[in-house]
Amino acid sequence: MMQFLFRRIATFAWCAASVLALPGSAATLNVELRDSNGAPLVDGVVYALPRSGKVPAFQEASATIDQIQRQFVPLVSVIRTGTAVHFPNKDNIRHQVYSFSPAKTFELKLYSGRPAKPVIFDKAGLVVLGCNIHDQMIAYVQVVDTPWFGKTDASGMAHLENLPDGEYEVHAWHYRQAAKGDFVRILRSGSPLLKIRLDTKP
Amino acid sequence: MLKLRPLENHIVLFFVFLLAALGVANWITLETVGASSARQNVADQLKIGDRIFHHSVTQNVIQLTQGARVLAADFAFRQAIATGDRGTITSALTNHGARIDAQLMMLVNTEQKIIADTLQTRRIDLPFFLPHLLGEAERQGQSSAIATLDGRLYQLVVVPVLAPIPIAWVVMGFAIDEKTVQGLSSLTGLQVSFLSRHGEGLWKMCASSLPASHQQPLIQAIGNGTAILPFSLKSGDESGDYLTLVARQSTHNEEVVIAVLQKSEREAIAPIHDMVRNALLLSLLGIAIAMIGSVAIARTIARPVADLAGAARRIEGGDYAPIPITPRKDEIGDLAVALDHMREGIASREARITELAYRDSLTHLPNRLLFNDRLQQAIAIASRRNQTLAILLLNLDRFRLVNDALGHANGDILLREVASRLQRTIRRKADTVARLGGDEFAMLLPDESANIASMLAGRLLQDLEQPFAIANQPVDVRASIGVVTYPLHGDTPTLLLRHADIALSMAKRNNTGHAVFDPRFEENNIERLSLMGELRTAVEQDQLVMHYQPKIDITGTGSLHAEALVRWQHPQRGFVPPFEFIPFAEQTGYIKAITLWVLDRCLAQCGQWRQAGRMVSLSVNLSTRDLLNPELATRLKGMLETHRCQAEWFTLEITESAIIDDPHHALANLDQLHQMGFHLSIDDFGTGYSSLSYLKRLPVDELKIDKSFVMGMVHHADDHTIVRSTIDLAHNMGLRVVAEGVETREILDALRSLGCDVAQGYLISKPVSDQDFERWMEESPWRTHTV
Repeated sequence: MMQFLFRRIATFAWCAASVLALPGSAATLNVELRDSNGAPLVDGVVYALPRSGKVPAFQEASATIDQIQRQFVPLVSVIRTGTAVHFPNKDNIRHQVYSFSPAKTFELKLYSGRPAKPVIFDKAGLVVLGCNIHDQMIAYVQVVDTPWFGKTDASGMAHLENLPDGEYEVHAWHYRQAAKGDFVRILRSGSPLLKIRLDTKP
Repeated sequence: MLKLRPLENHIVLFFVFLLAALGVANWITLETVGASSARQNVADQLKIGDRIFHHSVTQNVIQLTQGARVLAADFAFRQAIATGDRGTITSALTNHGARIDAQLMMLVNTEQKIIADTLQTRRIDLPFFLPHLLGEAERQGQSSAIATLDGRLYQLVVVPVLAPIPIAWVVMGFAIDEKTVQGLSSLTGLQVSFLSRHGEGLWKMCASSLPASHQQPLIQAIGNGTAILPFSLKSGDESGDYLTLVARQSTHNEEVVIAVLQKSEREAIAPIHDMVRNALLLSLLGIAIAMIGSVAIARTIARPVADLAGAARRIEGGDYAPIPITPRKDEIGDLAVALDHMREGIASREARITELAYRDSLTHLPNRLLFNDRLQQAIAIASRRNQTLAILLLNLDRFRLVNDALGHANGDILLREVASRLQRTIRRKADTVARLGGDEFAMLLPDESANIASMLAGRLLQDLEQPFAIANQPVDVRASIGVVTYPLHGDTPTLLLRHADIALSMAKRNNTGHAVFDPRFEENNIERLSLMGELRTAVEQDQLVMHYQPKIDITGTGSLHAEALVRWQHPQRGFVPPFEFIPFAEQTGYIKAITLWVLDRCLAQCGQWRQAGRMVSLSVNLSTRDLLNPELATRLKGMLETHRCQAEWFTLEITESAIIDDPHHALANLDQLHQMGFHLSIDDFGTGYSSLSYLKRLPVDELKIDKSFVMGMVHHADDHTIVRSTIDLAHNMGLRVVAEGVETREILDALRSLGCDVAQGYLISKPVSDQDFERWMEESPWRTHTV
């Protein structure tokens, strides 16, 4: 058993030297996203849905998508279903934030400053936000039914931590991807670094 | 038709050919350069039209795209799409399509399926037939294409509906129909056609601005292979020549759609043809103008040259009238002036030559040559005009005397003075005064009658009677004038002048001053001509007989004298009086023969009488010519010896004029005769102009007082005085005085009282024959009694 453990530890260490794998029941899933050309994809969304369907109960949460200099900041957000999202307008002009996405259709009439109420994203799915005044403003919000999600950093890496042991549907998505749906891979927790190459639009 | 001179021909032909050549060159240039330029122009227009076409199509697409974007950006429309509200979507498409006049509106979802359209043919849920346009539109924000749908050609634009990622595509289509191509055609100035084909199928004309008849050739040409480069397309007749360019090609699916732009070459070349035609017309017009102009120019050159040639010919013909010169500052002007100067030179030289040839150098009057010329001309003119003309022939009386007395220099001066007086007398320019030679002058009076000419002659004579002042001496001159008129007295210069000469002789002889020619004069003359011959015969055949008129000595010396007078007993005419043949004989010189004959007879007669004891002395008349006969003395000497006579028995009577005509020779002869012993007597003393100085020099012994004084002396004191003075003068000079014309006793008594020596006249006896004279000597009381 120890032998096995050691080997596993050794194997793990080999696989992800930088990834901290806590001993015991929890593990971290590291995912790397690259585009068609092999370049790291930043702002990619990675989340894992347990095959068991068991997820921790939703704790009230909120997120903020600013509008700064006619840009949504951040460009890509990933939130758990039910999260309240604030859209503070930090420009001195007004914006009209809307979404026609089926997961969350809403419209914030022209406003400035911080709206009184946040928008509750109560349904999983991709929500694309726009501003009816400024066509170039765009933001993506992935609403997921899992607490294990992350965004890739500049090196294309995302880290899903504290995954309980078990099988997971690992979803990867990037707004430049050509395919309509998520990239999905079934993995066990503790799997080594998942390298995903997404077919992206130029 | 205009008759051109050669020079004009040259000039006109030169200009016409020049212009014709230029016209042809111009035509060729226009035809080649113009046509190629026009073709180039067509190509340029096609290129420009092509750019305009592209620009226009692009603009059209941009406008359509804008229209589509407006719809795609509509929030409500997007909401309708987001919510899948197809009814709303369709109505929005219809509404918006109508608003921007689009014939086709479609909405394609992200599944590339048509979820709404405005076509009658329902395509809902069918895939969009040009899927690549969607991706292009997503990438570029829009895309466009020209494609057929249900047999109609559309300009399609596709824009994505962004929310803000594409959630659908709006497809808008605008039908490209006849109206569209006409618009493009008028915009580009080209013929615009759209053709399409599917796969390798046949080309089909979708829309075209071409005339229907030109469409099929285009379809065929395209079917034969579409070239991108412009190519010339001929569609039957000339009007179907197009420079053709396939401007735009778009391929979607299996379908190829092209836009063909064409420019009619004829339209472009037509102005060139017009230009060529106009140029030809202009050339013809130019040639016409050049003909007129060059004729005019040529005339300004050729006409004056011809005029100058005419002037030169006139000069050649002797017409020296000034050349009418139009002043002009060119070579012809120079030539004209030079010719005129030449004319002046020739005229003046000819005038000088004429002057020398035709003028008398002394008086500067026309000479005989010129007078004859003018007379000839005047006769010609008078003959043409049916006019008369008159000639006066004038001769000075006794000019020789003046010449001798005053010297030749003064004689010349006198002639000049006479000339100037004659010139003063005539007033008309046409009249000519000429000096024919010596002291003979003539006047030509065109268009003048004999009467006027006679009056003029009278006036001339009157004028000449005024004494001339020569060498400070008054000199009297008398003249005689013969007058003839044309055509009455002759029709040739020779005849007229001869008749004038005859008239002059008549005037002189009859002492009438002037005489108009009378044909009888000429008869006389003819008579005298025959007389001449007859006179010769008379001398040879002894028809001449001597008569003697006795002279008595009234001083009582008893000496017996008689004047021998020759008489002509003509066999037919009978007795011919001396005045009818003696002057004639004097004129012809035949007097010398007569005188010799007379002298011979007288000497013979006198010798006989002397031998018979009749102591008679005879007087014989000598004429001027006799005095000038150098043989006279020799012949007389021979006669004296032959007839055994002595010179003292004879008295030779001479007239004053006989001496005056040539005093030098006359005096020499007289001296010789005097030395031989002949007595000399001055006959007709008092009628001439002899000065006493002559008398003094003459070796004379006797004076005969003219009978005119003697016959008048008893009635006229003047004549009496002359007779007395002459007698006194003669006696004072130691000369004997003989009085002629003693016809009455009264005269004889008067003469005796005045101391006259000898009397002669009818009172004593008329001239009688030798026998009668012998009888008179026997029986006459005048002979036997001294009264």
